[in-house]
Amino acid sequence: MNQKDYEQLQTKLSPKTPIGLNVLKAFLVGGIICTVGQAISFFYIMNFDFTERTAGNPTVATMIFISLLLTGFGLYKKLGQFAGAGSAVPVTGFGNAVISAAIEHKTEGIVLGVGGNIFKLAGSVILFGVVSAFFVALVKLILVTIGVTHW
Amino acid sequence: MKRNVFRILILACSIQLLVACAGEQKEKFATYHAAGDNGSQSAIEKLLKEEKSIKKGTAVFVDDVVLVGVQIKPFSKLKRTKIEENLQKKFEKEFPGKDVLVSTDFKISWEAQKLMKKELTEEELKKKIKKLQDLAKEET
Repeated sequence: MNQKDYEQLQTKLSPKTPIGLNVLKAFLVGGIICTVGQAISFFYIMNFDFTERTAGNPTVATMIFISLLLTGFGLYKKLGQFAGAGSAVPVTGFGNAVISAAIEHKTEGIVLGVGGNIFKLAGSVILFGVVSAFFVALVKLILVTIGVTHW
Repeated sequence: MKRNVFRILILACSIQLLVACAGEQKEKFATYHAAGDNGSQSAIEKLLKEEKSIKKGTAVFVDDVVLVGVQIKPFSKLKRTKIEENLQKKFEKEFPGKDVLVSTDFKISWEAQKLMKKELTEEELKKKIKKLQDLAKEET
């Protein structure tokens, strides 16, 4: 049996992925997470001295703190199994990636274990985020210098 | 599992509703004056009515400060900076020599609506307005 035959056999035997249902679940759970985030944002705007522009920072911090608690108690794992991308794409998924890596490598010590592995998964997200932000800012700078748009 | 998800959904929706409906301003446009000059009220309402994409507008007058908080309709939010600049220019033209601040930020209109309900002395009002002006300038 060569590789192609094996692949054919594998796709034939493995259960079909319910793409529609998965998308629906991801949409619902991701939407709920974002609604909670919006509610927290409104909470900060209404009760503290934050405007819509500045309320993003404490909101993100709070969402990551919530995902820290959920990850620590093992609940985010279940949510991720149910919702897939719906729980991975919002900032809570990023928090989960950082925190679960930290928990996993705790036995190897604080410096080399936790410190060395905490960004094992999320490091690439940060790297590509920073690099792409740099290039977008560069493009914007050029556009502003030419006079097409303004800051 | 299904029931739990349903429960969470209902909880999220009701929290959102509660947050959104607390102390909303009923009328579309409202103005508040520390000094009793009612002449400018109609001028402001006219200016705000010209702009179609505005859902709600609140204006507060104290001394030489005009604070206007507007809320934009959801589908016009992409153009919010443009609308804000446009309104700022119009208001500056309407009230020359006054310190005008037009903001599309939710915080400004929320605080302006709160200012209207409270009975504040002019001194306190000025302090609050100063704070809001500083807040509106803050970045990130």
